[in-house]
Amino acid sequence: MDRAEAQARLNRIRAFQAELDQLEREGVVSLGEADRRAILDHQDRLAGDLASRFDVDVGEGQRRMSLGMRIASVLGALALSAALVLFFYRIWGWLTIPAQMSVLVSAPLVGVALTETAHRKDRAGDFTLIAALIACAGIVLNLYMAGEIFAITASPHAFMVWAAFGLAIGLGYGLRVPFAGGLIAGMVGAAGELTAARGIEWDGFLQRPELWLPGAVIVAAAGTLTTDPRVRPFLPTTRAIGIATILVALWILSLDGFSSLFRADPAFVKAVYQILGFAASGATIALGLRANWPELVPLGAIAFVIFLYTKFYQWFWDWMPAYLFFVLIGLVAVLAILVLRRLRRGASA
Amino acid sequence: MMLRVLPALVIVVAANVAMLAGVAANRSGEPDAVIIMTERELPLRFTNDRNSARQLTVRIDRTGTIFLPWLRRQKLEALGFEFGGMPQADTAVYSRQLPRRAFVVLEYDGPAWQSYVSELRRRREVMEQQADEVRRGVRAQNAVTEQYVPNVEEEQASASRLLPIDAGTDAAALRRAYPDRRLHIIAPATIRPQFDYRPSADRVAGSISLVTQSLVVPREWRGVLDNLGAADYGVRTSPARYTVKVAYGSRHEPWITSIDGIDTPRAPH
Repeated sequence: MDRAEAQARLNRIRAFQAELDQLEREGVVSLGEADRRAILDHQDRLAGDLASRFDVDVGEGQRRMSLGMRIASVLGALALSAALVLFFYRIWGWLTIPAQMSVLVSAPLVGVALTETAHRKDRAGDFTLIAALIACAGIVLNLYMAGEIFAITASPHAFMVWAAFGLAIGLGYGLRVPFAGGLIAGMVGAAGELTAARGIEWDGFLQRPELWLPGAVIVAAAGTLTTDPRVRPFLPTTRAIGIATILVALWILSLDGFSSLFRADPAFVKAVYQILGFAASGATIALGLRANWPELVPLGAIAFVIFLYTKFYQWFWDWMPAYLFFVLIGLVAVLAILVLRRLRRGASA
Repeated sequence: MMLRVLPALVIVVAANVAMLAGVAANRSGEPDAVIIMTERELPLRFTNDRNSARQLTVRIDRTGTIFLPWLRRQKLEALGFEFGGMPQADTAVYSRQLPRRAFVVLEYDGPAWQSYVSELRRRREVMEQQADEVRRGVRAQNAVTEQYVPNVEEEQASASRLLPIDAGTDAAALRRAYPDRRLHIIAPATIRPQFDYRPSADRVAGSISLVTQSLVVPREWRGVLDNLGAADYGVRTSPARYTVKVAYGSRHEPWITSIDGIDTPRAPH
C-alpha cells in the first residue's frame, strides 16, 4: 500500500462513519452497541495505523493544509534550485576546470542522496519533493554548464538525459512533479532529435508543432495503454501531458497554416487542423467519460472551448460589434451548460 | 533503496562519462585548426558581479554589411533549402524555411578581409559622392543606394577580421577545399534564409550565426583579462589589448589554449 491508497482507505472510513450516523438518525438501521463499538474501534485502529505509517490527512482541514504544503514545497524547491544555479555562477570563474566539473557532477549526486535521506525520514513527502527537484536542477546545471565550459556544440541530447533522470526520480520516489518534468523533457528531446535528423537546427521544432506530435502521441499512448499497477499513480499525469501537448500543437496549427510541415495552402492547412482540433477535444472528453479518467474531461472541455472561441473570434470579431460578440460567447456558455446537464443526467441514468 | 537510487546515479555517471569522452575525442590528436586572434575577434562578453567567469564572444559580424555575397540562392539550395517554384517577392518563402545546421569556413585576416576593406572603401566613396549629389540637388534622397557605410579607418583598426567565406554540410570536404589550418576555421553554424530588400535580381539571401558564440576563459588564462578593468567590457577597443590562441578540435569545438597581453606603447605627451 502506498500513501495515495492509504489516503483513499481513510477517506472511505470517514465517509462510512458519516453515512452510518446519518442512517441511524433517519431510523433506517440501528446497530447494537457492541457491533457499533467493534466497527468503530477497528476503524479507529486502522485510521491511527494509516496516519502513523503514511502521514495521511485525517480531516478536511488537514487535506487543505497538505495542498498548501505541496505548493510551498514546489516554490521552495524552485527557490533553492535558483540558489544552486546562482551560487555556481558566483564561484565558477575562480575554479579550475576539474574543480568546476567536480562541483557540477556532485550537484545531482548530492541531490539524489538528499532525496533518499528525506524519503526515509519524511513520510508526507514534502521534503522529498524539494530534494528531488533540487536533484533535477542539479542535472540540468551539470550538463548545461559543462556544455558552456567545453564549448560543446548545442544538441537536444541533454534533454534525453534530463528526461531519463526526471522519470527515474519520479518513479523511484512516487513524485509526480519530476515525473511530469521528465515527460516534457523527453518530448522536447524527441522533437529536437527528429528535427536535427532532417538537417534543421534542432530548436526549429518550436516553429513546427507537427514535430511535437510523435513524442506526444507516444506519451499519450503510454498513459492510455499501460496496465502495470506499479505505475498506475503516474498514468493520469502521463495521459494529461501527452494529450494536452497534442491539443496545443493542433491549436497552434489551426491558427497559423505557415507553421505546418505540409506545403499546402495555409488556409487549407488551418481548416484541416481546426477540424482535427475539435475532433481531438471531443475524443478527449469521450475517452475521459468512457474510461472513467476524470483528468481528461476538463482538459477536453477546456480545449473544445478554446477551439470554439478561437473560431468565433476569427469569424465574428472584425465585423461584429464587440458587445454582441461577448453576448454570443455568453450564449454559447449557457448552451454548453444545458448540453452538459443533459449529458450528466444521461450518465447517471 | 538501490532500486530508487541506482537508476538516477547511473544516468548521472553515464551522461558525464559520455560527455567527457566526447570532449576528449575533440581535443585528442592534431587540432583541426589553431589560430591566434585578438580582442577584435574575441572581445570580452559583458558580465556582472553575479557571474564570476570571463567569457569571450566570437565576432564574425560586419558593421554596414548585411548580405554575404557568396551566400545566395545556389549556395542555400546546396545547404538543403528549397525555394523552387516560389515567387521571388513572396516573403513567406523566407518565413517558412527553418534554419539549417551547416559548417561554415571562417577566414582570419586573409584575402577576404583585404577585399572587405577594399569594398568598404569603394562603398564609402560612393556614399560620399551620393551625399554630395543629394546636397547639390542632382540626386533624390530615395535614389541613394549607400545609406550608411562605416568609416574605413575605424573598421581597419578595430573590426573583427574573422570572416565567413564559405559553407557546406560536409566538414571534411570544406577542410580539403581550405587546407590552411592557421588561416581557416571550420565551425558549426546556423544558416537562415533572408529576404534581400534591395532591388536585386534575386531576393534570396542568407545569414549565418555561429552555434558556439562564446568561449569560457579557463582560470589559468584570466589574469590578463582581469587587469583590463570592468569598464572596458562590451566596448570596442582599439588597439587590441590581448591575443587569444584558439584551437578547434576534431569535432569542431573550440577551446582557448593561451591568452597573452599586447604591450602597446604609451601615447606621447
